[in-house]
Amino acid sequence: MSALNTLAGEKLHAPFPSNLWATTFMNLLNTSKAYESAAKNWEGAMLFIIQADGGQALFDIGCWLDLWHGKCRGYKFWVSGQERPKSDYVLTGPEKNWMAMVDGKLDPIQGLMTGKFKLQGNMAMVMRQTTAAKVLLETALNFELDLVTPDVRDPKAKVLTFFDKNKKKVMIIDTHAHTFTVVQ
Amino acid sequence: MEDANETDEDRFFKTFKSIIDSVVAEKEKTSKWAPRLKKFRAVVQFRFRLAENTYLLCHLVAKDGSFQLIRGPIDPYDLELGAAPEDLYNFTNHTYSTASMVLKKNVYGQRRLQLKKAGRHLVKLLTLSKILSV
Repeated sequence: MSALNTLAGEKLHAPFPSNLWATTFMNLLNTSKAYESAAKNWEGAMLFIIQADGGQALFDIGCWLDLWHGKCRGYKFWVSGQERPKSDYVLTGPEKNWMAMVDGKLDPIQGLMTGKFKLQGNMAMVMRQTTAAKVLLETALNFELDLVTPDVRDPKAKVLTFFDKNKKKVMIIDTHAHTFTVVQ
Repeated sequence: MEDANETDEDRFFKTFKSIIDSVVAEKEKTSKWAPRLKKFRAVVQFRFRLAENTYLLCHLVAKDGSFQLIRGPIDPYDLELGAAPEDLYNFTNHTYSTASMVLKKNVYGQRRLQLKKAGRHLVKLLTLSKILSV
């Protein structure tokens, strides 16, 4: 956890996507009494998609969370071109809107209701579980959105290697085989 | 890739369509609601205020148990509901009461729920509010 800034009141820094980001997020969620209580009836995996919009992300990148009765049981990453993991809910938005959300400039529910994000799935369930959805998204506000960047900016390159801010290798994408490996 | 050129209005419309589809699908499974949904006939226009100067018009056509949400205006309609989306969301999940929707103001200084032709179609309005309620 050396890459994390864990000082009270400061944002956590972990490259996204990375195993470090996902395990830290899961840990925050699984130790949150607020989430445990709000999401005690929640059943269903959610895929969060950051849409490439000309910012740092070259591709749509997603994080899939297996959410079950107030706990997160697992995670996966996804990049566009791959088959999507089976998800009950898919929350999609352009990178700039995710950035605004993690900066605290955009309330998650308001963002959803003003079209900054799109949510598809059993909305009747989400509407009954608004607090759970809000706590889930607010947990992500603990992080800076440190998107990893590729070594080359050509999305058609066969292999793209992504690095974090410290130039450490984080992820390798084979754009032809539609596979990727999360290194960290 | 998801469509990166989607606008806020596109995304909101898809989310709202997902809301309508899922609340109707959930109610269709209950013996209390299934016959009522089949009987409900209405053309309802929604006027959503997404931002200071941004509105989205769409309409719901309910007929023979089918509920179709279509983007764009329609004329004639049975009734029109105008609201900021977050207020309607808070109404359907019981955060806001009917009285608060009718009497209180939204962030734009308008009533939270603005109605047209509701007097003539009060039963349709009441049924619709129950259908949308989760």
